[in-house]
Amino acid sequence: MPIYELPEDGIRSRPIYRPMQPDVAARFHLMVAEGAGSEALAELHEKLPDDARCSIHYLAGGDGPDGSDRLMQLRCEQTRLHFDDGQLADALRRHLESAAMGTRLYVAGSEDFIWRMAAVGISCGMSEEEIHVERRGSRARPVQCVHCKTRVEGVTTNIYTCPGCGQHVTVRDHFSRRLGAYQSVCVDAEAPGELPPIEEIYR
Amino acid sequence: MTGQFNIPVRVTRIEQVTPMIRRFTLERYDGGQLPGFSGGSHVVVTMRGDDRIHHNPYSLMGSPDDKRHYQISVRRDDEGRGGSLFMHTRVAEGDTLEVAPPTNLFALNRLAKRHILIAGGIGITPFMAQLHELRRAGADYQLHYSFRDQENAAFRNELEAACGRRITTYDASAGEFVQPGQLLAEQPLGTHVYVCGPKGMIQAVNDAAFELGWADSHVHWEEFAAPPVGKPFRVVLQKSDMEVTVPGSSSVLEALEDAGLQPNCLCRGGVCGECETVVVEGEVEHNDHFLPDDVKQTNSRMMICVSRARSERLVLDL
Ligand SMILES: Cc1cc2nc3c(=O)[nH]c(=O)nc-3n(C[C@H](O)[C@H](O)[C@H](O)COP(=O)(O)OP(=O)(O)OC[C@H]3O[C@@H](n4cnc5c(N)ncnc54)[C@H](O)[C@@H]3O)c2cc1C
Ligand code: FES
Repeated sequence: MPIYELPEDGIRSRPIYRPMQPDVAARFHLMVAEGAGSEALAELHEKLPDDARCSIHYLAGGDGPDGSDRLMQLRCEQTRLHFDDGQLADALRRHLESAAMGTRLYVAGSEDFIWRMAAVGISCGMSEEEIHVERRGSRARPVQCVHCKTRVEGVTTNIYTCPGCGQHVTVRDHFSRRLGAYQSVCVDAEAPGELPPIEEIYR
Repeated sequence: MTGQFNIPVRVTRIEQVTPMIRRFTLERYDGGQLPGFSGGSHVVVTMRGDDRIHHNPYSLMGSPDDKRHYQISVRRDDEGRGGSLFMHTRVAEGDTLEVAPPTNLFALNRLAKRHILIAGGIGITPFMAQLHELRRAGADYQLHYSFRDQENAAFRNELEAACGRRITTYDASAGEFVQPGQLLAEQPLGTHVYVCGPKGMIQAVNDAAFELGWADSHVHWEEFAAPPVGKPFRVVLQKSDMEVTVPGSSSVLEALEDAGLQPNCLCRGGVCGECETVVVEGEVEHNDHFLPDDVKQTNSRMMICVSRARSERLVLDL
């Protein structure tokens, strides 16, 4: 079961996200979310078999709704709330380092969040097949400038000024799974200062 | 159709390892470097017998760092079509053979946190090359090696010297057997299991892994399967405008090669996908592990290295 699909036409590297489905072959389900991702976890939990073993890590606060109460009600071996995502990532790593084969990781939240948490799973030796992701909440994009490699989280406009090199860069649809980021390239290389209209398109 | 080019090699050394197994050391005929390989690779050896040409895959078991030599071990199979017997009875030191460049369909996963290697009998060969890589990388691994009895425990001393406490051996004659369910239980995340041995052993490891919730991508197996035999049938090659008879003891691929053609192929065991061929007409007896079931049902494609005809005639887009 692939964790996401690639569009058949157009930009092949732009992921398409679908609602997560539980992998019923698994022995343990580890669920991680931030903000609006709590809804995705609640829906996923609903679909789990009754005797399924699971735990939840949730990043409360941040932007988006706080789903803590909802998640605390779900039947689970452990539900842990975190207040910053570095702390969550550390807790996730510790959890995975002591986890056994047969575990699946499910991550829901903004694109930036899900790919950073998926990367924790990959670095613990998980394969893509064992990691399921779903985007919920903001469509803001994590972007890396191709010129100076400066990364910016939560870009909502088609064009922004790169804080690293100061150039006007446009957000492309090419998503690098390795970096967990879209790429941006200079828009006004030919005629500096001449920019197409700036629009907020990733909300 | 673009067949692979063969490399002429000279047999520099033959060792009788057990009553059934011989190890062959090969070097390039012109003394040059051989193509590099990674642990788990095999080469297809071409043997020119009196009444037939054999193309058998054999796993490379020497060190991937040795660019001058390949080593293979062949278990004598008296039930087979004669390839392994040829290696045992006709090949002498100094003789020449041909090998195709190595292909790897059984590679180690480089991101794995732990490797569990399970070998049954001659299935130890691909692991012997992989062990070089694992030891060089300082990887966390375990080798579980089962054999019929002490007399047939090929390479046991070498393996014990190389692996120390990481090897566990199982002597079937003493009632010792690998227990996949126990071996795979409670393994840390990031563990990969690799199995090479008899069909039943491969199945048992796959079943245990599935039962324990392992993702398929962490389970690797190689079966030393030979093309199944069956009834003879005729194959019509539409593009080449030829008709060839496939004898009961040859695969379609072998029959086409005997007719002078060079169809694409790599593994000759129905796993790599290289020999996939469009079927224009006829019913196929699918024996491969490559095509998805729904494709198999439509009879629109076949893997000519292992699959045969159910009908008397097959028309292929070749
Ligand atoms: C990837 C790969 C790697 C391999 N690596 C090794 C290795 O390292 N060492 C090694 O020894 N082998 C290895 N093999 C197996 C090897 O390629 C040969 O299959 C084996 O040596 C037997 O060859 P053969 O020509 O004697 O018999 P084959 O003709 O290949 O026959 C093998 C078996 O097929 C059946 N069979 C064949 N013809 C008939 C018939 N007419 N009637 C009934 N049954 C029949 C029998 O069960 C027989 O025992 C590997 C195979 C693969 C696919
Ligand atoms: S040659 Fe590999 S599937 Fe046929």
